[in-house]
Amino acid sequence: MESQNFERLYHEHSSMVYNLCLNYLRNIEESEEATQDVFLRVHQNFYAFDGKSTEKTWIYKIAVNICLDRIKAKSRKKRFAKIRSIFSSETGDLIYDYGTFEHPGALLEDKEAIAEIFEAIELLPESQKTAIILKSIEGLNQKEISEVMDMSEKAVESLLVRARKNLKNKLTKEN
Amino acid sequence: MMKNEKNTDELLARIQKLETPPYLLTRIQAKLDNANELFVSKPKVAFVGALFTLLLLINFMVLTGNVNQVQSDKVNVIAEDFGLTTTNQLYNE
Repeated sequence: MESQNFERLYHEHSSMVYNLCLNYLRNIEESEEATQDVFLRVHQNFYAFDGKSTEKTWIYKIAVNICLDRIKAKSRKKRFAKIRSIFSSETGDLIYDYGTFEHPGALLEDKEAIAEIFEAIELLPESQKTAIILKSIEGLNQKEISEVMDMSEKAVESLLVRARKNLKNKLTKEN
Repeated sequence: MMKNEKNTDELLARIQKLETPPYLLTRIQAKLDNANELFVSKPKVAFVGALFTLLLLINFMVLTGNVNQVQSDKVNVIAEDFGLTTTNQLYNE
């Protein structure tokens, strides 16, 4: 792939990819690594891009797949992880706080509410999580979401209805 | 849409998009350069493969040619030991 073309793609879509990764992975370092992985894959596979979808939805699809793979890999690691205390044995202070995710893009007055919403989104099934992130945070329309998720617009609509219902139930339970 | 859902959607829509860290492109380009150094093109692989196959074929042909020659030599030695002729001539002249 030509260097100029690659840089153009990067400058047009890197922010979108980075923010999507942040919404999925909820960690800045991991999001940076995932963004790199996305663009490496874009570079490797650009020859296969047939133009049936837009560049934007094609890159979104790659980003979603990479984020989901990373989440699955993390769950596999957790299964084999050693159990250790999250409190320091010396001072008793909390060392690791895996609780709430403070989104760096959230406004100050919204931080707490957004953190709760992300906790609830985290518990959704994979496809519902993807639909909600793409619709409510990334602002894609239903046609774009259907291209990214390889499903019909009607399927996306019903998925969003279920996702919103589940999200509401989880948020209500927490409150 | 229920009020709660509207609030959730509104809150999520208010999340500001962050700029990508400036060093990311440099890192990606470094990884691509590294990958290119290790990369061998398919035509090169095919050419080397064909060359290797040809070499094996020539080797095989030379070996089988030698074996036939050795067998022929052995037959001649045995025939001479028994005084048998290896030619079509009936009389030794």
